[in-house]
This record gives sequence, C-alpha cells and structure tokens, in this order.
Amino acid sequence: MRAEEPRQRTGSSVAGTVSIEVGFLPGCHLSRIGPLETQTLSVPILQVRDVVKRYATVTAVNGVSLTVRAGERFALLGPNGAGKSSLIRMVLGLTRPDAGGISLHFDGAITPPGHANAARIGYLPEERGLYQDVPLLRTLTYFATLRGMTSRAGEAAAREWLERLHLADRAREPVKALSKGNQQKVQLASALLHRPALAILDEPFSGLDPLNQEYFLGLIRDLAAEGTTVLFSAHQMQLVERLADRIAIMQAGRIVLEGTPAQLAAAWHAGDVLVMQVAPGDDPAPLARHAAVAAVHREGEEVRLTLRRGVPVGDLLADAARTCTIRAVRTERASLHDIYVQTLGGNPAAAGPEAA
Amino acid sequence: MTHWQQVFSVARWEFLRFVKLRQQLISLAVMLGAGLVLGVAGYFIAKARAKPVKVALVAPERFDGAVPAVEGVTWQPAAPDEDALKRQLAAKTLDGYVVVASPDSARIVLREKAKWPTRVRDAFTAARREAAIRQSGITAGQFAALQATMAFETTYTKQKRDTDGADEAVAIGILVLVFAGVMGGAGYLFTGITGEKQLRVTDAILSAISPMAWLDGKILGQLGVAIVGIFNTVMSLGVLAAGAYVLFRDKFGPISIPMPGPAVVVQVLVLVLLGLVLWYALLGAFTSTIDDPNDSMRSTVLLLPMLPMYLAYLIKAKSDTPLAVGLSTFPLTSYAALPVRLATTTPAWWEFPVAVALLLGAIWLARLLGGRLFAAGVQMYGKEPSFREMLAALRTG
Repeated sequence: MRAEEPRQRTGSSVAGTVSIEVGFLPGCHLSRIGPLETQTLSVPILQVRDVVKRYATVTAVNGVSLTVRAGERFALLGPNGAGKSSLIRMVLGLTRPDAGGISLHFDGAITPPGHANAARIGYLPEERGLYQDVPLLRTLTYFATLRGMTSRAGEAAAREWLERLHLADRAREPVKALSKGNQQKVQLASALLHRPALAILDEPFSGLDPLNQEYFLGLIRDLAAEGTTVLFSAHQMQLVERLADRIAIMQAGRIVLEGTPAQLAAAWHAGDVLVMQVAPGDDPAPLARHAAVAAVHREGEEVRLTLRRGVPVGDLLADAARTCTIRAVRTERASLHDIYVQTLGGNPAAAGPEAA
Repeated sequence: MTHWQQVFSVARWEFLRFVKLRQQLISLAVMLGAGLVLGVAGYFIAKARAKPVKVALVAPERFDGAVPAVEGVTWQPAAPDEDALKRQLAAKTLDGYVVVASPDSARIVLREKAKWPTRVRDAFTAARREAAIRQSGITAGQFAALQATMAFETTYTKQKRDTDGADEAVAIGILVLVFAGVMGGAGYLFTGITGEKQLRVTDAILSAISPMAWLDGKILGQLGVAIVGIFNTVMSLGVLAAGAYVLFRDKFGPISIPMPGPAVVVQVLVLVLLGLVLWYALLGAFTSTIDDPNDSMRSTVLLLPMLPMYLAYLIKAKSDTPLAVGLSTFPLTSYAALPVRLATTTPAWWEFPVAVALLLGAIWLARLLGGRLFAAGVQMYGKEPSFREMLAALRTG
C-alpha cells in the first residue's frame, strides 16, 4: 500500500516510497516516478534528477526530481514563481541546470535536453507570441520546418491543423486578424503539427474563455490519445483534474506533492469534504483537532471540513454542533483545488499524510 | 535536421518577411513608369528648347562687321520703333530685340530671363574680335600664337594609376551601393530581432533551433535582402540618371558611364558580401540585448556600419597612404575601403587576399561570440543585460 501513496516531500527528501537504483541512469531513483507496478508497464520519456537552477539571488528550482512516462498526461502545478517554467525551460534546453541532470528518452535512446530533440518535442511557451503580419499558413509551415519537416509536409500538416481548428478559410490572413482565442489555437497548432512524442504546454489554458478552454482540453486529450506524452502546467484545477494522469505540485522551487489525482486525494485522506453553514460568530477552528478532520477552511458562513479517508467520522457532527450553530450540512468530493490550496496554503506537517 | 537546413529555413523566412515579390514588382513598375515619365517630359522639354527664338535686330549697320549667326536665334530685321517691338514682345510674336548702339555696345530687351542673350553676346564679341584682328593686320596664325600657353610636361616618380572623374564616380557608386546594402539589411535585422523579442516568439523558436542557427539564418536572409536592396538602388539610380540625361543632355553633352573591369567587380562583390556578413553578425548579436528599441540608447549602434563608409570616402583622394592600406585590410573597414581603392588606384596584390582572410577570421570570431551574446540577449525580457552580463555571456557562452 505504501508504494501506491503519493510522494509528500519535505525539502528534497521523499517519503513513503520505494527506492530502486536502475542501471542505465546511475543515481536515478525510480521510486520517484510512481508505483513499482506501473513502472514495469511504461517507459519513461523524461527524467529529471535533483535539478537546481539559480538566477542571481533566487533559486528558481531547488532539487527537483520527477519522471514522466510515455503516453502520460503529466500536470505541473504551483503558484506563480514556483519554478514550473524554469523547470520546463531546462527540459527544453533553453537554459542549463546549475546542478542535477535531465534526460529524454526517445526510441530507446537517451539524450540530454537540446535542439537535437526538436522533432520529438512540441512546446507551447507561457510567453505566447506569433509573427503578427504573417499569414497563418506560412506561420505554421515555418514552425513545422524548424521542427524538421520538409516545406511540403509542413504545409500539408499546417492545412490539416487549420482545418481541425476551423480556420482553413483564413489560411491566407495575417495572424493579427484573428481573435485572441484563435491566435492561441494557432500557437498550439504551431507546437503540435509535427506530431511530437512529447508535448510541453506551459499554461495552455491561460487567457482562454471557458468554451475555448474546453476546446483546448479536447485537443490535448486527442493528442494524448494519438500517443503523444503531454507535460503541462496550469492554474485551472478543474481542467487539470479532468486531464491529468499524474500531478506534481511545486512550491518555492521544490515538488511538494506528486501522484495521480486519486493518490493526491489519498495523501490528504481527503475523499470527502463536509460543508456546513454556520452562524457568523462561530469558531470552527477546534474541529481541526478531530481525528477525522484533515483541514478546516472557512469562507464567510461556510465551513469546509476536509475529512481523512478511512478514519471513522464518529462523533464529528456532534462535536461540530457543540462548537457551532449548524444551519445546513452537505458533503462534497475533495477537489484538486482543495488539495492544491491545502498543500500550498495549509500546514503540510499537520494536515498532510503521516510521514514515513 | 542539420544546422544548415535550419539556417536555410530561417534565411528563407527572413528574406520573405522583408522582400515581398508583389511589392518588388510594383516598385519596379513604379520606377520604370517614373523613368518613362521623366523621359517623355525630357523629350518635350528638349524639343521646346530646340525651337529657335525670334529676335529683332535694330540698326545692325552700327556694328563694325557682318552680323554673326547665333545658334537657336533667328534674326528679324526691324525698324527702330521700340514701342512697336515691345508690343510684339507682349503679343509673344517676338522673343526679344537687340538694339546695336555702336560698334562696341548693344542693348538686349526680352520678356524674361533666357539663355539666348549669352549666346548673342558671345557671338557678337567673337565677331568684333575677328574684325579687330583683321583691321590690325595680324594674321590668324600670329593671333593663335599670341593666345597659346607654354607647354609643360609633368612626370611623377611614384607609380600611380591615373585617376580621373570616372574612377571617382565608380568609387562613389560603390559606396552608395554598400550603403544601400548595409543600411537596408541592418535596419531589417534590427527591427526583426527587437520585434521578435517584443512579440515573444523567441522561446518558441529557440526550443526548436539553436541561437547560432537562428542568427546564421538571419544573417543569410538579410544578406539576400541587402542584395535586393542594392539591386533596387541600382535600378532607381539608373532610372534617375537616364531621366536626368534625357532632361539635361544638351547641357552635359554625351555621357559615358564608367564601368570597372570584371575582376574588380568580383573582388568588390566578395569584399562587400563578407563585410555585410561580419557587420550583420555583430549587429544581430548586439541588437539581441536591446529590450525596447524605442527607449534604448543602444539603438545608436545601428549607425556604426556607416563609419567605415565615411572613412572610405575620406581616403578616396589619398588612396595610397598607409592609413588607406590599413583600412583596406582591417576587417571592420575593408569591405568599404578596399573597393574604393580598387576603383581609384591599384592596390598591392596581397591586399585583397589578406583582407578576405582577415574578414573570414573575423566572421568566424563574430559568429562564435555573437552567437553566445545572441543566446543570452534574445531570451532576456523586461531588462537589458548589463555590459558585465554581456561580457560574462561572451566568456562562458
């Protein structure tokens, strides 16, 4: 059971996991990439080992290790400045780590980050930008040729993507003639039209309206269904919850929680949330001491008690009734949003899983 | 995909971003149209100028000799009634009249300033001089001897090719074309790189290709843009010169266009193209450190390539001095200085190969260091790297 739990990390230590040395990458702990059972079934496509990146006086990435397996949809979460983009830029070879190592695995060959992988990787940068005066078709064809396609193949792929994005009739129009949402679609296409093995999408949903967010979600799912591994960062927890196979949450340059959505929920023993409407003057804080409660959050007259999975609720409601004036009660499944907020905003030592 | 395949992809993109075939064809058509208009206008102006003027001659008997024939002037006998002549002037049936007052003086009256009075004055003066010679008994041969200057032969001990106006014209022409190439390509390079930084396309591109491949592609693409710029300049100047010739050929007479030999043309092309590559590598790398071209003092770097052209212009008249030879071999200036000297003098045989070798070495170094600076600068948003950071990038890559 322990091996199936996510890794709640404090500092660079890994808790509750099995550690196995593997031959092809000395020093690499496969324990950090997930349960032992699944490792035998899937091949890693990206391995990051104890990577550190410093900028002047800031340590942007501080001893991060993770593995992304082929075919996975891996979400990298964390607040702004947590080090997600810095980590992604190192994976792409745009910057070099000050310590640690990164390796990419394509067709059985292990390569370091760099432009040799251009044809295998697609990248949607956080800092979006396209040549505004250039027609869509030419823009996409250019990006395809930079990723190793011939002009003819690139143009064919560009036309296919414009068709897919319902922009085929605007192929000759300059990028600046499109709405922001459509420009983002073109940008996404520019990152994917060469059919990469690994798509790295830095905040693909940012700046999109809900409809376009849904559209992008569908596109990324299709991409993964076609066999592309997706590593993405995002702040939209509802979308991440629906998309990610595995999630790593970063804070201050470190990964503080990693696992499947179910594992993350289990990490907080947070299968359910008890939501109570209470009187304005009530103080629900003492409920945090109850054995069944992982965390307590209050928003106005609403108190959310995140429950520990597997721990009997027992007399919780009776305790709550003694502490507060309960006007209404309902239960919810703990969302990724709850887990994210509790992980980064709560006290992991108190509310997190038991340390191994 | 190899480095050079990526370079050619970028070069093609850069070239087509700034050189649009349709616009080029329109520009060419406009230039040819302008040339045609100039030519037609010149034809009609020349035809109008060729029409002789009608000038009345009053009291020609007062002139001591035969009335001279004047080019473009038709003499009309007239009575000495100036009021009547002025009425004819007002009615434009007459272009002017000449009243001979004595053998030594005359008066010309015309509506407005024109060129024919000068010709009339010169013709009458010559006729009067001839008459005076005849009266004095001096023969034409004696008169010519009196006018002749003493013959001197000058010999220079230092070997130097004779320079004339044609050589200077070729030198200036080369400088104009180099200017067109440098400023056209450098300008686009500057706006291209700073624009890409502001559009935030750099991350997407650098995730696919190396900074060096990107810079190389830009240099190659802008070289193509510069060649088109030079071609356009040649066409524009050609059309302008042809139009001007049609307009003013009666003033200048026949014009021969000086053309350097094929060997000089090849050498000039090699030097100019290598020089452009060197300057583009330096400018591209430095431009990458500029965050916002509108408020960066570093934008003035764009003017630097003009300095070699200014120096080359200065040595045009003293093209065999040690300074001129030095500028002709120094990589940053040789692309402008040596072509000028090839037009105005005969440089030593070793100067061209040395200049080319030094240029190639400088290009290699500029690409190496420029690539490092470009890699650091082009990824820096929001602030410009300090000179210390730039030096660190140059050192470590």
